[in-house]
Amino acid sequence: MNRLLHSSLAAVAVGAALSASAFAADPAGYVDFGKFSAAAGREFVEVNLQSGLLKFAAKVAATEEPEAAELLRNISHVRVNVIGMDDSNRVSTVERIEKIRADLEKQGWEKIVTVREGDGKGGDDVAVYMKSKGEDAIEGIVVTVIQDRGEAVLVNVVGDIRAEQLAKLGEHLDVHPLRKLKLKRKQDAEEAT
Amino acid sequence: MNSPNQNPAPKPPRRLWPWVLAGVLCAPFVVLGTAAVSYLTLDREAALIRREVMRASDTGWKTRVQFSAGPASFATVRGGLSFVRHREADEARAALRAVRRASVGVYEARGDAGDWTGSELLDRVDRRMGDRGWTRVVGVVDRGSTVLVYVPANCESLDEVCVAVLDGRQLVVVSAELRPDDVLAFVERHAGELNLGRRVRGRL
Repeated sequence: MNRLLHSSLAAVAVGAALSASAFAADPAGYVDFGKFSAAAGREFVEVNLQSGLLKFAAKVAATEEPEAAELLRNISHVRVNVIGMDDSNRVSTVERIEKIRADLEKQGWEKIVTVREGDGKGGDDVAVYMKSKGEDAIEGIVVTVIQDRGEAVLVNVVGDIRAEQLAKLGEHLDVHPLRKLKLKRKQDAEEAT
Repeated sequence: MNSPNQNPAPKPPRRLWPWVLAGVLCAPFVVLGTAAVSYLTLDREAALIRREVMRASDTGWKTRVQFSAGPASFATVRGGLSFVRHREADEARAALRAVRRASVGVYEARGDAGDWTGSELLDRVDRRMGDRGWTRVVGVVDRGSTVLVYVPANCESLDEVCVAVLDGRQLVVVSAELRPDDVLAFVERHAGELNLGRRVRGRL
Protein backbone atom coordinates (compact mmCIF):
# COMPACT_ATOMS: atom_id res chain seq x y z
CA MET A 1 0.00 0.00 0.00
CA ASN A 2 2.82 2.31 1.05
CA ARG A 3 4.71 1.47 -2.09
CA LEU A 4 1.65 2.21 -4.22
CA LEU A 5 1.21 5.57 -2.47
CA HIS A 6 4.89 6.45 -3.01
CA SER A 7 4.70 5.47 -6.67
CA SER A 8 1.56 7.56 -7.19
CA LEU A 9 3.11 10.54 -5.44
CA ALA A 10 6.28 10.17 -7.51
CA ALA A 11 4.23 9.96 -10.72
CA VAL A 12 2.25 13.06 -9.76
CA ALA A 13 5.46 14.93 -8.88
CA VAL A 14 7.13 13.97 -12.17
CA GLY A 15 4.01 14.90 -14.12
CA ALA A 16 3.76 18.26 -12.36
CA ALA A 17 7.45 18.95 -12.96
CA LEU A 18 7.14 18.06 -16.64
CA SER A 19 4.06 20.18 -17.18
CA ALA A 20 5.65 23.07 -15.27
CA SER A 21 8.80 22.87 -17.38
CA ALA A 22 6.72 22.65 -20.57
CA PHE A 23 4.76 25.68 -19.43
CA ALA A 24 7.92 27.57 -18.55
CA ALA A 25 9.50 26.68 -21.90
CA ASP A 26 6.84 28.55 -23.88
CA PRO A 27 6.97 32.33 -23.48
CA ALA A 28 3.74 34.33 -23.70
CA GLY A 29 4.21 35.39 -27.31
CA TYR A 30 4.98 31.89 -28.56
CA VAL A 31 2.41 30.10 -30.71
CA ASP A 32 2.70 26.43 -31.58
CA PHE A 33 1.66 26.17 -35.22
CA GLY A 34 2.01 22.39 -35.15
CA LYS A 35 3.23 20.31 -38.06
CA PHE A 36 2.28 21.03 -41.64
CA SER A 37 2.49 18.55 -44.48
CA ALA A 38 4.31 19.40 -47.68
CA ALA A 39 2.68 18.86 -51.03
CA ALA A 40 4.79 16.84 -53.47
CA GLY A 41 6.73 19.11 -55.81
CA ARG A 42 5.74 22.28 -53.92
CA GLU A 43 7.91 24.55 -51.83
CA PHE A 44 8.02 23.86 -48.10
CA VAL A 45 10.16 25.98 -45.79
CA GLU A 46 10.45 25.82 -42.04
CA VAL A 47 12.77 28.09 -40.06
CA ASN A 48 12.90 27.82 -36.29
CA LEU A 49 15.47 30.06 -34.61
CA GLN A 50 15.94 30.16 -30.85
CA SER A 51 17.49 32.93 -28.77
CA GLY A 52 21.04 31.52 -28.82
CA LEU A 53 21.25 31.65 -32.60
CA LEU A 54 19.46 35.01 -32.76
CA LYS A 55 22.00 36.48 -30.33
CA PHE A 56 24.74 35.10 -32.54
CA ALA A 57 23.04 36.65 -35.59
CA ALA A 58 22.87 39.94 -33.65
CA LYS A 59 26.63 39.78 -33.09
CA VAL A 60 27.17 39.08 -36.79
CA ALA A 61 24.96 41.99 -37.80
CA ALA A 62 26.40 44.35 -35.16
CA THR A 63 29.28 45.72 -37.24
CA GLU A 64 27.32 46.49 -40.36
CA GLU A 65 23.74 46.93 -39.19
CA PRO A 66 23.69 48.04 -35.54
CA GLU A 67 19.98 48.83 -35.69
CA ALA A 68 19.12 45.33 -36.87
CA ALA A 69 21.47 43.89 -34.24
CA GLU A 70 19.66 45.81 -31.49
CA LEU A 71 16.37 44.44 -32.73
CA LEU A 72 17.66 40.87 -32.93
CA ARG A 73 18.97 41.05 -29.36
CA ASN A 74 15.40 41.61 -28.14
CA ILE A 75 13.98 38.65 -30.03
CA SER A 76 13.94 35.23 -28.41
CA HIS A 77 12.30 33.09 -31.07
CA VAL A 78 11.48 33.31 -34.77
CA ARG A 79 9.48 30.69 -36.58
CA VAL A 80 8.63 30.88 -40.27
CA ASN A 81 6.59 28.36 -42.27
CA VAL A 82 6.04 28.58 -46.01
CA ILE A 83 3.74 25.83 -47.25
CA GLY A 84 3.21 25.29 -50.96
CA MET A 85 -0.35 24.10 -51.48
CA ASP A 86 -2.01 21.86 -54.02
CA ASP A 87 -5.18 19.79 -53.94
CA SER A 88 -3.60 17.30 -51.52
CA ASN A 89 -3.05 19.77 -48.67
CA ARG A 90 -4.93 23.00 -49.52
CA VAL A 91 -8.04 22.31 -47.44
CA SER A 92 -6.19 21.03 -44.38
CA THR A 93 -3.68 23.91 -44.46
CA VAL A 94 -6.32 26.63 -44.84
CA GLU A 95 -8.43 25.01 -42.09
CA ARG A 96 -5.42 24.90 -39.79
CA ILE A 97 -4.62 28.57 -40.40
CA GLU A 98 -8.24 29.56 -39.79
CA LYS A 99 -8.13 27.61 -36.52
CA ILE A 100 -4.88 29.32 -35.47
CA ARG A 101 -6.50 32.71 -36.17
CA ALA A 102 -9.62 31.80 -34.17
CA ASP A 103 -7.52 30.52 -31.25
CA LEU A 104 -5.41 33.69 -31.21
CA GLU A 105 -8.53 35.85 -31.05
CA LYS A 106 -9.94 33.69 -28.26
CA GLN A 107 -6.67 34.04 -26.35
CA GLY A 108 -6.87 37.82 -26.51
CA TRP A 109 -4.37 38.55 -29.27
CA GLU A 110 -5.08 41.84 -31.00
CA LYS A 111 -5.66 41.74 -34.75
CA ILE A 112 -3.70 44.69 -36.14
CA VAL A 113 -3.79 44.04 -39.89
CA THR A 114 -6.47 42.44 -42.05
CA VAL A 115 -6.15 42.34 -45.82
CA ARG A 116 -8.58 40.43 -48.02
CA GLU A 117 -7.82 41.06 -51.65
CA GLY A 118 -10.33 40.28 -54.36
CA ASP A 119 -13.27 40.56 -51.97
CA GLY A 120 -12.76 37.04 -50.67
CA LYS A 121 -12.82 35.56 -54.17
CA GLY A 122 -9.37 34.29 -54.97
CA GLY A 123 -7.23 37.15 -53.57
CA ASP A 124 -4.60 37.05 -50.83
CA ASP A 125 -5.83 36.80 -47.27
CA VAL A 126 -3.55 38.38 -44.63
CA ALA A 127 -4.06 38.69 -40.88
CA VAL A 128 -1.49 39.97 -38.38
CA TYR A 129 -1.92 39.51 -34.63
CA MET A 130 -0.04 41.07 -31.74
CA LYS A 131 0.22 40.21 -28.04
CA SER A 132 0.99 43.29 -25.99
CA LYS A 133 2.66 43.63 -22.62
CA GLY A 134 1.72 46.92 -21.08
CA GLU A 135 1.34 49.93 -23.34
CA ASP A 136 4.63 49.98 -25.23
CA ALA A 137 5.95 46.44 -25.30
CA ILE A 138 4.98 43.57 -27.56
CA GLU A 139 5.56 39.96 -26.51
CA GLY A 140 4.65 38.28 -29.72
CA ILE A 141 3.56 38.81 -33.31
CA VAL A 142 1.89 36.30 -35.62
CA VAL A 143 1.59 36.89 -39.35
CA THR A 144 -0.70 34.57 -41.30
CA VAL A 145 -0.97 34.73 -45.08
CA ILE A 146 -3.00 32.55 -47.45
CA GLN A 147 -1.87 33.45 -50.94
CA ASP A 148 -4.02 32.98 -53.96
CA ARG A 149 -1.13 31.53 -55.96
CA GLY A 150 -1.09 28.46 -53.72
CA GLU A 151 1.17 29.30 -50.82
CA ALA A 152 0.54 29.83 -47.12
CA VAL A 153 2.94 31.71 -44.83
CA LEU A 154 3.04 31.75 -41.04
CA VAL A 155 5.46 33.84 -38.99
CA ASN A 156 5.76 33.99 -35.21
CA VAL A 157 8.21 36.44 -33.64
CA VAL A 158 8.61 36.26 -29.86
CA GLY A 159 10.54 38.72 -27.74
CA ASP A 160 10.46 42.02 -25.98
CA ILE A 161 9.74 44.33 -28.89
CA ARG A 162 8.92 47.99 -28.45
CA ALA A 163 5.90 49.24 -30.37
CA GLU A 164 7.99 51.70 -32.40
CA GLN A 165 10.23 48.82 -33.49
CA LEU A 166 7.33 46.99 -35.11
CA ALA A 167 7.73 48.58 -38.52
CA LYS A 168 11.53 48.18 -38.38
CA LEU A 169 10.95 44.53 -37.61
CA GLY A 170 8.84 44.29 -40.76
CA GLU A 171 11.63 45.87 -42.76
CA HIS A 172 14.47 43.84 -41.26
CA LEU A 173 12.70 40.48 -41.33
CA ASP A 174 11.11 41.32 -44.67
CA VAL A 175 7.58 40.76 -43.39
CA HIS A 176 5.49 42.76 -45.86
CA PRO A 177 2.31 43.25 -43.79
CA LEU A 178 4.35 44.89 -41.02
CA ARG A 179 6.06 47.11 -43.59
CA LYS A 180 2.63 48.18 -44.82
CA LEU A 181 1.77 48.97 -41.23
CA LYS A 182 4.67 51.42 -41.22
CA LEU A 183 3.49 53.02 -44.44
CA LYS A 184 -0.01 53.33 -43.04
CA ARG A 185 1.34 54.96 -39.89
CA LYS A 186 3.44 57.35 -41.96
CA GLN A 187 0.42 58.25 -44.06
CA ASP A 188 -1.66 58.80 -40.91
CA ALA A 189 1.05 61.06 -39.50
CA GLU A 190 1.25 63.00 -42.77
CA GLU A 191 -2.52 63.39 -42.88
CA ALA A 192 -2.53 64.57 -39.27
CA THR A 193 -0.01 67.31 -40.10
CA MET B 1 60.73 -45.32 -12.29
CA ASN B 2 60.89 -41.71 -11.11
CA SER B 3 60.78 -41.05 -7.43
CA PRO B 4 57.76 -38.99 -6.28
CA ASN B 5 60.04 -36.41 -4.58
CA GLN B 6 61.80 -35.43 -7.75
CA ASN B 7 61.41 -31.67 -8.52
CA PRO B 8 59.81 -30.78 -11.88
CA ALA B 9 62.11 -29.26 -14.46
CA PRO B 10 62.32 -25.43 -13.99
CA LYS B 11 60.25 -23.51 -16.54
CA PRO B 12 62.29 -21.46 -18.93
CA PRO B 13 61.95 -17.73 -18.10
CA ARG B 14 59.11 -16.09 -20.04
CA ARG B 15 60.57 -13.92 -22.71
CA LEU B 16 58.77 -10.61 -22.99
CA TRP B 17 60.94 -8.92 -25.53
CA PRO B 18 59.39 -10.63 -28.60
CA TRP B 19 55.99 -9.34 -27.53
CA VAL B 20 57.33 -5.84 -26.88
CA LEU B 21 59.06 -5.87 -30.23
CA ALA B 22 55.90 -7.09 -31.97
CA GLY B 23 53.91 -4.38 -30.21
CA VAL B 24 56.37 -1.68 -31.21
CA LEU B 25 56.36 -2.90 -34.82
CA CYS B 26 52.57 -3.17 -34.99
CA ALA B 27 51.76 0.08 -33.16
CA PRO B 28 52.36 2.40 -36.13
CA PHE B 29 50.11 0.21 -38.31
CA VAL B 30 47.37 0.15 -35.66
CA VAL B 31 47.62 3.95 -35.24
CA LEU B 32 47.65 4.48 -38.99
CA GLY B 33 44.74 2.07 -39.47
CA THR B 34 42.69 3.78 -36.76
CA ALA B 35 43.53 7.19 -38.19
CA ALA B 36 42.61 6.04 -41.70
CA VAL B 37 39.28 4.66 -40.47
CA SER B 38 38.52 7.86 -38.54
CA TYR B 39 39.52 9.97 -41.56
CA LEU B 40 37.42 7.95 -43.96
CA THR B 41 34.24 7.58 -41.89
CA LEU B 42 31.66 10.12 -40.80
CA ASP B 43 31.08 11.12 -37.22
CA ARG B 44 27.92 10.00 -35.38
CA GLU B 45 25.59 12.87 -36.32
CA ALA B 46 26.62 13.04 -39.97
CA ALA B 47 26.33 9.25 -40.24
CA LEU B 48 22.86 9.34 -38.67
CA ILE B 49 21.52 12.06 -40.96
CA ARG B 50 23.03 10.28 -43.98
CA ARG B 51 21.45 6.97 -42.96
CA GLU B 52 17.98 8.48 -42.42
CA VAL B 53 18.01 10.42 -45.71
CA MET B 54 19.18 7.33 -47.58
CA ARG B 55 16.51 5.14 -45.97
CA ALA B 56 13.79 7.67 -46.79
CA SER B 57 14.93 7.87 -50.41
CA ASP B 58 14.55 4.11 -50.96
CA THR B 59 17.39 3.69 -53.46
CA GLY B 60 21.03 2.63 -53.51
CA TRP B 61 23.79 5.22 -53.04
CA LYS B 62 27.43 5.27 -53.91
CA THR B 63 30.02 7.24 -52.00
CA ARG B 64 31.87 9.96 -53.89
CA VAL B 65 33.78 11.56 -51.03
CA GLN B 66 33.77 10.86 -47.33
CA PHE B 67 36.18 12.12 -44.71
CA SER B 68 36.44 13.48 -41.19
CA ALA B 69 39.11 15.79 -39.83
CA GLY B 70 39.67 16.56 -36.15
CA PRO B 71 41.47 19.32 -34.24
CA ALA B 72 44.90 17.76 -34.88
CA SER B 73 44.33 17.69 -38.65
CA PHE B 74 43.11 21.27 -38.72
CA ALA B 75 46.05 22.37 -36.56
CA THR B 76 48.46 20.58 -38.92
CA VAL B 77 46.97 22.24 -42.01
CA ARG B 78 47.03 25.63 -40.26
CA GLY B 79 50.66 24.99 -39.29
CA GLY B 80 51.49 24.09 -42.87
CA LEU B 81 49.80 27.24 -44.13
CA SER B 82 51.85 29.37 -41.74
CA PHE B 83 54.85 28.75 -44.01
CA VAL B 84 52.98 30.14 -46.98
CA ARG B 85 53.35 33.90 -47.28
CA HIS B 86 50.22 34.95 -49.11
CA ARG B 87 47.14 36.93 -48.22
CA GLU B 88 44.87 34.06 -49.29
CA ALA B 89 46.77 31.69 -46.98
CA ASP B 90 46.08 34.06 -44.08
CA GLU B 91 42.41 34.02 -44.94
CA ALA B 92 42.39 30.22 -45.20
CA ARG B 93 44.12 29.98 -41.81
CA ALA B 94 41.52 32.28 -40.25
CA ALA B 95 38.72 30.18 -41.74
CA LEU B 96 40.31 26.94 -40.54
CA ARG B 97 40.72 28.39 -37.05
CA ALA B 98 36.93 28.70 -36.88
CA VAL B 99 36.46 24.93 -37.36
CA ARG B 100 37.37 22.50 -34.59
CA ARG B 101 36.39 19.36 -36.46
CA ALA B 102 34.41 18.53 -39.57
CA SER B 103 32.91 15.50 -41.23
CA VAL B 104 31.90 15.63 -44.90
CA GLY B 105 30.23 13.10 -47.17
CA VAL B 106 29.15 13.38 -50.80
CA TYR B 107 26.99 10.61 -52.29
CA GLU B 108 25.19 9.91 -55.53
CA ALA B 109 21.98 7.93 -55.94
CA ARG B 110 22.38 4.84 -58.12
CA GLY B 111 18.86 5.07 -59.45
CA ASP B 112 15.87 7.30 -59.12
CA ALA B 113 15.71 8.75 -55.60
CA GLY B 114 12.41 6.96 -55.04
CA ASP B 115 8.95 8.02 -54.05
CA TRP B 116 9.26 10.05 -50.85
CA THR B 117 7.67 13.25 -49.64
CA GLY B 118 9.47 16.12 -48.01
CA SER B 119 7.40 15.95 -44.82
CA GLU B 120 8.12 12.26 -44.48
CA LEU B 121 11.85 12.92 -44.74
CA LEU B 122 11.71 15.86 -42.31
CA ASP B 123 9.68 13.85 -39.77
CA ARG B 124 11.96 10.89 -40.00
CA VAL B 125 15.23 12.79 -39.65
CA ASP B 126 13.75 15.14 -37.01
CA ARG B 127 12.72 12.20 -34.83
CA ARG B 128 16.13 10.54 -34.92
CA MET B 129 18.11 13.75 -34.51
CA GLY B 130 15.74 14.81 -31.71
CA ASP B 131 16.57 11.59 -29.85
CA ARG B 132 20.20 12.67 -29.94
CA GLY B 133 19.41 16.18 -28.65
CA TRP B 134 19.45 18.05 -31.97
CA THR B 135 16.79 20.40 -33.26
CA ARG B 136 16.13 21.51 -36.81
CA VAL B 137 16.49 25.25 -37.43
CA VAL B 138 16.00 25.21 -41.18
CA GLY B 139 14.12 22.82 -43.43
CA VAL B 140 13.55 23.56 -47.10
CA VAL B 141 11.93 21.18 -49.59
CA ASP B 142 11.51 22.46 -53.12
CA ARG B 143 11.32 20.54 -56.40
CA GLY B 144 13.81 17.77 -55.74
CA SER B 145 16.04 19.87 -53.49
CA THR B 146 16.03 19.47 -49.73
CA VAL B 147 18.08 21.36 -47.17
CA LEU B 148 18.14 20.40 -43.51
CA VAL B 149 20.12 22.31 -40.86
CA TYR B 150 20.33 21.04 -37.28
CA VAL B 151 21.92 22.50 -34.16
CA PRO B 152 22.02 21.14 -30.60
CA ALA B 153 18.73 21.87 -28.80
CA ASN B 154 18.89 24.98 -26.61
CA CYS B 155 22.28 25.92 -27.99
CA GLU B 156 23.47 29.36 -26.93
CA SER B 157 25.81 29.86 -29.84
CA LEU B 158 26.90 28.35 -33.11
CA ASP B 159 29.09 25.61 -31.59
CA GLU B 160 27.93 22.68 -33.64
CA VAL B 161 25.98 22.34 -36.85
CA CYS B 162 24.83 19.44 -38.97
CA VAL B 163 23.66 20.02 -42.56
CA ALA B 164 22.22 17.75 -45.25
CA VAL B 165 21.59 18.91 -48.81
CA LEU B 166 19.80 16.60 -51.21
CA ASP B 167 19.78 18.00 -54.72
CA GLY B 168 18.44 15.70 -57.38
CA ARG B 169 20.62 12.59 -57.12
CA GLN B 170 23.38 14.19 -55.07
CA LEU B 171 23.46 14.10 -51.28
CA VAL B 172 25.92 16.19 -49.27
CA VAL B 173 26.19 15.74 -45.51
CA VAL B 174 28.32 17.99 -43.30
CA SER B 175 28.75 17.96 -39.56
CA ALA B 176 31.08 20.48 -37.94
CA GLU B 177 32.11 21.68 -34.53
CA LEU B 178 32.95 25.37 -34.66
CA ARG B 179 34.66 27.98 -32.54
CA PRO B 180 31.98 30.69 -32.38
CA ASP B 181 34.41 33.50 -31.48
CA ASP B 182 36.62 32.67 -34.44
CA VAL B 183 33.57 32.35 -36.72
CA LEU B 184 32.54 35.80 -35.55
CA ALA B 185 36.04 37.20 -36.06
CA PHE B 186 36.14 35.77 -39.58
CA VAL B 187 32.68 37.12 -40.37
CA GLU B 188 33.60 40.56 -39.01
CA ARG B 189 36.66 40.64 -41.24
CA HIS B 190 34.51 40.01 -44.27
CA ALA B 191 31.26 41.65 -43.21
CA GLY B 192 31.77 44.67 -45.46
CA GLU B 193 32.75 42.88 -48.64
CA LEU B 194 30.10 40.16 -48.25
CA ASN B 195 27.37 42.61 -47.25
CA LEU B 196 26.57 40.06 -44.59
CA GLY B 197 24.19 42.05 -42.43
CA ARG B 198 21.79 42.23 -45.33
CA ARG B 199 22.19 38.52 -46.05
CA VAL B 200 21.52 37.57 -42.41
CA ARG B 201 18.37 39.66 -42.55
CA GLY B 202 17.38 38.07 -45.83
CA ARG B 203 17.63 34.61 -44.30
CA LEU B 204 15.22 35.56 -41.55
